[in-house]
Amino acid sequence: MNTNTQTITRNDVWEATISLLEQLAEDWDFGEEITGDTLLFTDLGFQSLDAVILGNTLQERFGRPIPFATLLTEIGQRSVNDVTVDEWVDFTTLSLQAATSVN
Amino acid sequence: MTKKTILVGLDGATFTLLDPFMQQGVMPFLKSFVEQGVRADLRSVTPPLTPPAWTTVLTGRSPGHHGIFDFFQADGPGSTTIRLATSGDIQVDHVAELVNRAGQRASVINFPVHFPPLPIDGAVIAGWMPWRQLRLGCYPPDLYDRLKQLPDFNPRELAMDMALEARATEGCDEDEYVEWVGLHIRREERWLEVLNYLSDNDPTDLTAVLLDGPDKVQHLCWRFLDPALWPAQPTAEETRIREASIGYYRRLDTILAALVEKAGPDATVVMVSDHGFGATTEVFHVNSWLEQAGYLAWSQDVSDELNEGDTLGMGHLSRHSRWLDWDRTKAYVSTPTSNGIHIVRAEQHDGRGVAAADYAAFRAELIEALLSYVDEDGKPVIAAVATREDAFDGPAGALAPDLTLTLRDGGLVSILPADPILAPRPQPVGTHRPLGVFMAAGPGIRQGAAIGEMSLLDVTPILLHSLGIQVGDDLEGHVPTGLYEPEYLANRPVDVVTRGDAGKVQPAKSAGQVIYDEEAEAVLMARMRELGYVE
Ligand SMILES: [Zn+2]
Repeated sequence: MNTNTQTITRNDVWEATISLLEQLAEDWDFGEEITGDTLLFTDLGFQSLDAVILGNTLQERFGRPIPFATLLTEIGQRSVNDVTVDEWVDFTTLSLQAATSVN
Repeated sequence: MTKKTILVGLDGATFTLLDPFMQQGVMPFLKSFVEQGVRADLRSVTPPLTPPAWTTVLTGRSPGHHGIFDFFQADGPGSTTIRLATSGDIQVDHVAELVNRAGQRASVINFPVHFPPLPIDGAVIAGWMPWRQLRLGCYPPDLYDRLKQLPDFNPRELAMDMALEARATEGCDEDEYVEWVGLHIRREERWLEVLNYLSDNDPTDLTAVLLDGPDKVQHLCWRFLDPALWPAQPTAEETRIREASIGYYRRLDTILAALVEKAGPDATVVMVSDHGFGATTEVFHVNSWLEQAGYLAWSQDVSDELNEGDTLGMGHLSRHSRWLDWDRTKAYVSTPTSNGIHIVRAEQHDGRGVAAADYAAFRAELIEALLSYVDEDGKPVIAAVATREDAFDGPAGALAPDLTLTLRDGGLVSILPADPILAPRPQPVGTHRPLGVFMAAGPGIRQGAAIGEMSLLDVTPILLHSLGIQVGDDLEGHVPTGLYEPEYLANRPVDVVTRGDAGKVQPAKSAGQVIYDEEAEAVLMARMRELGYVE
């Protein structure tokens, strides 16, 4: 997909994340549309391990490390322990771009 | 010459249970299998824990070389944050890769630390996957959609449903024990369905499958299963739970019979466990011991967090990094699953912790203090302390704990703050032991022989030799000569080959294994702060 010399855009991450989530949601018989406002834990019923697996798969797709442990720790300290698809995509995009900017 | 070879992993299986079950008619198939083959005690790795042990089975290398020490992995040498170990952390060749390189195909089903799945010629279904993400643990990518077509396919039963699994760690009433055992019977039936499908539609030269029910049933139901713990006059409820638990082994026996029959008479079938099993009767709160001995200090957050209760498990993995006062902590334990103590090294923590020049003396003093710790009756609690060089010698050992404890009851530590430091458990529960089981039958294998103790390291060489593949001299185990009839082995000697460079540690195989460097992380954190993610 992407290589280290290309810039990864938010749209790349959005498309990879949504297509992965839609594919998985079909396995769970989740009928509703997944949007930027969908909450991973409350709406999709994620547990922390689900988030780790999703994060690792995206990491594989883009061939670069993403510090999802940092995000999960931070979510754990929020008053509402959840994250929207938009926030997830923002975080992933920033991580990938930060990894590129120091290459 | 290719010869079909099957490895059946039985997580936590022990002759302490299998022998009486074979004698009493609970496992008639296994009894005949052993009568037609070879059996041996199989020594596990240190610590005898599921992820490092299965990784040794499937690589033929010890943890100091393969790089898996726990369910979790430090982010880098000296890092206090941990994440789940992934297949990318494995630093050496997988047996499936060796088999592929020899032009043969392999399927590897339900083993831990197999996510993300290796892209091998054959099939991979990673174990320890949450059921919702099982698709992502399958290779090739269309495998999951093919499995979905099976009549009884049910990912909730095949993989992990955390809502069901959580019970394994808590005591439960009779109905819950019976339900727990039933879940594992159904899980093995689902795996049999998957294996039959692969065998009919996509057969491979090597098939390796892990059935993890013995471990799961034994952790919870040990006191109902172990003949040594069974009361002379059990209650009606205890008898019912015992009968239900034994029901798992009755069903397992028929599943093993089906697997072996499907493999056919010419196949070699090897059954192994990753460790044995026994009772643990007490809890040792290791971090509180370290605190009392002056090696560790808790932060302010601990009691607040413990009072708040569970926060969906998020941030849970690295909670110890918030719980400890790093200005005053020199040694700590970060996971309740490997009995490993990490020493805080000043050169890795901005001068806090133990200076390089003091390390050897500090470590010796800590070992001495641990071994001198006694209970109220003056009896030592810690049976042995292994250093990193003892337990994890090898180029991958840098991420391993500095010290690994063996407790006197074989149990695992608690990392939570507690007083008293040592507390009896209300009831004995199951825990791992170093000696597991080896059973094998097939062409050329001796019949009805019990041979001397073997090692988990021997399994990969045995599988390669059985498939007619050369055994690399970088593998640490060997094919025991007593396994085969002498004439058979004379015609089919073990072909050991010098692997040279190929035998050396491979570079990181997955992006997940790359360490996110500090500068990149600083840039990221600054941007996150701008977006309001970080206060
Ligand atoms: Zn195990």
